[in-house]
Amino acid sequence: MPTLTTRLRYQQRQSLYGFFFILPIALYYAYFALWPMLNAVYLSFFKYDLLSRPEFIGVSQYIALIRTPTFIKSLSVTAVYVIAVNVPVWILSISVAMVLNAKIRGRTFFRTVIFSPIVMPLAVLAVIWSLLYNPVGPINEWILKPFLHAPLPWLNSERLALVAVILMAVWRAFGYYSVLFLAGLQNISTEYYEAARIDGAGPWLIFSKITWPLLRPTTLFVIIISVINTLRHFDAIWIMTKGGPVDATRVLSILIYETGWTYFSMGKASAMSVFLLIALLLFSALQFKLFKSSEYE
Amino acid sequence: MRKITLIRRAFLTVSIVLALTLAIGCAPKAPEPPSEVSLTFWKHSHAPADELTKTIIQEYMQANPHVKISLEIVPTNQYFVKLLSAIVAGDAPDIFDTDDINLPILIDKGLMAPVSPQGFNVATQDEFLAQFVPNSLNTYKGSDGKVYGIPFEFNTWNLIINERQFKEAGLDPVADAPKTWEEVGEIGKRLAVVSNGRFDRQGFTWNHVHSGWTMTAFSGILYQLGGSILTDDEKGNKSNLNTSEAIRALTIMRDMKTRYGSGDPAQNISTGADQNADFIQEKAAMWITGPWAVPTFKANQAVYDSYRVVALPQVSDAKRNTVIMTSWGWGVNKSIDASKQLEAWKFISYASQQGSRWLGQAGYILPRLGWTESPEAKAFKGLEVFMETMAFGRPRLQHPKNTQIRDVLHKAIQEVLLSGADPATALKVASDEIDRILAE
Repeated sequence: MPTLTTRLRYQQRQSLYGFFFILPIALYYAYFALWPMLNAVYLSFFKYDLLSRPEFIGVSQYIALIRTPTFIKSLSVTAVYVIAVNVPVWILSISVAMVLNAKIRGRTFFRTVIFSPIVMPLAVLAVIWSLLYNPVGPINEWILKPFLHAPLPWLNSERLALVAVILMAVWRAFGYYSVLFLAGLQNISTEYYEAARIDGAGPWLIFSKITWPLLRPTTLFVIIISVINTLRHFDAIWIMTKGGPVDATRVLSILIYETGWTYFSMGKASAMSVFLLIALLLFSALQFKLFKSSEYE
Repeated sequence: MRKITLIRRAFLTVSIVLALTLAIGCAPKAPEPPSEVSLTFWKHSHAPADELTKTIIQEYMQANPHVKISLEIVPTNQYFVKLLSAIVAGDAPDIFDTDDINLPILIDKGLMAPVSPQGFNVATQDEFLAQFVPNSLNTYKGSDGKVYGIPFEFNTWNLIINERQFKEAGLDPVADAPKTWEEVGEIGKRLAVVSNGRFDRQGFTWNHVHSGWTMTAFSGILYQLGGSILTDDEKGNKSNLNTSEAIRALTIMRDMKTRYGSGDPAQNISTGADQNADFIQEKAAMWITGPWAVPTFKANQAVYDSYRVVALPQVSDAKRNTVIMTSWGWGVNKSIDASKQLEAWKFISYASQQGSRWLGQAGYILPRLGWTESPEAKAFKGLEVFMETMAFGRPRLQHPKNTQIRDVLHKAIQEVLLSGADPATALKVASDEIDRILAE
């Protein structure tokens, strides 16, 4: 009597094996990522304070949100934060990766140093940076004192607080993305470069015609991952400024946390999360589209 | 004859058995060992109090071997998130602490058990209340008149001055200690040390490290002026911030920097982790805080030796003398069974009887009677001021949306103190925002 596997064609059997291989992670993902996400969408239609029964209110939460000045302000702060962190991170990380890809003395040491911020606990880094930014801290006392008559209130100023958290985020992130770009660079065959040099191509031509096009998959990955990661930044900002002063550093993740866990408005916090999710999905789709269309140029 | 004998024997046997049963039943019983009880206890972290809590638990368990208490200390900034998550998951601790802001919400949602007088070794609520300073448990009462928690930290927020810095500035720390906000500004200016436009030391500054601090400072002045955050002296459901009293209160706060130059809150060094750093590191000569902060001054012995507590300054034309009072209290989870609740209250009763130790080690003022003549109480500098000002102490705003209201107000205060915004404009925006929150 033929068993199930012998009755299936070879390709079907392969698919079945594959299905069983991915089943554990698929279950894990469904339970710990997909279900909470769907639950958040569901909760966004309810008024829910954690301690009472949820009350269905339809889309009114979404309508109220777009009329809430704090939410609109938070969206704009988030947009500025994401752009101001990521653009320098992309430029810095690709530049550093190219330097580290060259044959320089102490290359391994520099690679380790540049990667090190990412392995340090974020809470510790946030406290260290808070001390650095302190009015009597090293940045004010050692670096800026000769140039300024009063210390800069980095974390106590509406103007400077966002700059302060952006600088910290850039410092922490660029090493990680440098390593990703470095891996991408090391995948490019040296034959292309040798051929280009024989043809008399200069550094810029080599970069624009060989390195950059061949780094496209890495770049797409870095852009999407870095934007998603930045949108989720919470711990360091919370420790350093708690979203203030006023609303200066109140990015969406901070507002969602406050709304859910400080104000006990889980439904509203869920609606904010759905906004964030939609923004992320749109951004990712746009990135894929842009990179796909440029592949055929 | 034989039959009668048998009946007699049977009757005799039954009688003896009955008599024995009765005798055993009436005999005094040997005391049964109480069944073992395990209690979980969560508290928010405050380093000076954490060690004492562990010690008190150990003592209690030694004296009551049938009780096992497992303590979990949670960082304050994560405390309510963790507590709420546990409540939602049906995994809340048996004993927990809460502040006076979240207390009404927890009582209202039926999550806290009412105090059992038997836990305090008395039979009635009146006898239980007689163990405490009169009216001190009012904040801990629900709408049904029952008491739902025992405060272990009663803070009146007063002015702390550095005597040594006063003397260095040629001021007498007793005679020159400010009594009005105008005097705070003027004396603060004399205490400030400025070089090349930098405050090496602020004379006086407002702590704005989080909304709890700014709310406490602002509402104290506002109540002195006869105003309130919400209409109908906090009982209404509309913002009352768009008023002359509120604008004047915020103007007084702003004046410390712009009119008197006594300090600049933007130059503060205090952080969430080190909330009194400006005073402890001698970067501010005058500072508003509560008794809980006093043990933390020991981080700088020079400051601990020279601090002096002065009653909170009042507005010169104050309509009512006011000092803001805040508190934390112990509560018991309502969902645990009655016998466990009773054991929990017995432990809380024991802990609340250690008033002198709480004061000496943690700076906590407990409203349970009987410790004010202790050596620890006599050694605690400024205790009399913290206690005397309770007479005109007023709790901060109690409202289910307190946290949201507080955060909106915090932003308005920061806009004025840090960014130089106009108080009236900032309060108008805050007022509209609060009305929107209240209407939701």
